[in-house]
Amino acid sequence: MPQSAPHRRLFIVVGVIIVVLLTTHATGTLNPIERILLKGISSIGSMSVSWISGAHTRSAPSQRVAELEQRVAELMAENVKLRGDINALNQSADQQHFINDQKITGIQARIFARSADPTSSYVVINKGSAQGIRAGEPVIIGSGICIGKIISVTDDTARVLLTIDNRSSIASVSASDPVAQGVVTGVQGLSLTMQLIPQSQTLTVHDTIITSGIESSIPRGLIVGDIERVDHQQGELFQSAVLHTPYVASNLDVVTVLSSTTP
Amino acid sequence: MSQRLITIPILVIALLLSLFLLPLLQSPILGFNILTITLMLVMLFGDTKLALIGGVVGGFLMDLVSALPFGTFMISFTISLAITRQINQSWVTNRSLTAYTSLTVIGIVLFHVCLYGYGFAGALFDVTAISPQLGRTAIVSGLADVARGCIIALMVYAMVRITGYSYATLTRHEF
Repeated sequence: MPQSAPHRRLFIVVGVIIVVLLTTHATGTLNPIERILLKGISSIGSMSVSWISGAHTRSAPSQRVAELEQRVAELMAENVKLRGDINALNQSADQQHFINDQKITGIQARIFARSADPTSSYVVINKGSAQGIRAGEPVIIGSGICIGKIISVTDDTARVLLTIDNRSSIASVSASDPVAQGVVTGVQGLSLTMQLIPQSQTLTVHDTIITSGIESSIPRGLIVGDIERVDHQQGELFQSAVLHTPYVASNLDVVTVLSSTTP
Repeated sequence: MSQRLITIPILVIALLLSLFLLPLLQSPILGFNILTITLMLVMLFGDTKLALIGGVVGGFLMDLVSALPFGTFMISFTISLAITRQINQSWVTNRSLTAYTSLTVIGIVLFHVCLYGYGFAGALFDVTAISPQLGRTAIVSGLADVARGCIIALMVYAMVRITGYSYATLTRHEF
């Protein structure tokens, strides 16, 4: 095979490059380059999220708007971007009101990337330890809807594990019956389930489930979901409930990280 | 050279889609691993070097924003490309539709094995990262990717046959 030798060399060179990248990443030597690349990804990601978010708000436009959009393509692009920004501002305002009402501190951030591997459900935000974000802190949208927790932080970015991820678990309680406690976990990146609820507790459909506050960095009262179905099996120690997810992961744009320090 | 003028933009588009657009489809069924499929097809159509460079660059960028251990994507792309190329050289005797589709599927399966093998190995150091449901999700998404890979391989093969994109000029040893 006369062509094999150069390709073997090529694979060896690529292998060496990977080892160098892994080593420099582990030692932190690669940090400045990674930071620059992440900033680039952050800019492109924010633009695409903004565009998609704008596209969502454009659903069911009037006939006249549709005609105008067709006639003025450049204006449509600008319109979509502006709508995305307005949407982001509205979300931002909701979150700010909640933070002010609750007298807690929060750091607003924008999502610029999402999990590329289908087994995980997380997003990457454009604020990190430099802005005071720490691992374990809850992330909310709107009026206190908990979407996940910070799992890792770099200087300028942080990864948020969404509540729908299999690895996510949040100590929760029913808003109407504070004794009915359990743990809310994600199911296949698609929905939520509340487990470890004692059989003696009565849960009803449409009950709102909130964070219980027993986790040190997560305050009580953040909305996790509402009950869609209760699975009550005879002979089992615990019952479980399927929850309705109060957010659409693909629509997330602006989020607020709740800081564990109170003002 | 003219091939690369077409292939490089395709790889860049596949990378951008994989990084920004397709992850928005938050579902093991819909989540689309287009970069793996593109890399496999680029390699099978004769440009191993470009496929490898695309794998390392794309894998590096995906590793930067991934929650899996750093290097998972880079290593998975490289290993799956290397093994698929070896299988192609050693066992595949023709350039039939079956051969291309089988190799694309083998490549995708290898990528998933590497991805989750490495991911699980990394997760062993962090007990909270392991979930009983994770394995099931991995299998579901792996099977979905294989199915999508088959469809795309068939579509690309059909396009190649129609356009005649360098297909007839390559010999088996050029792979």
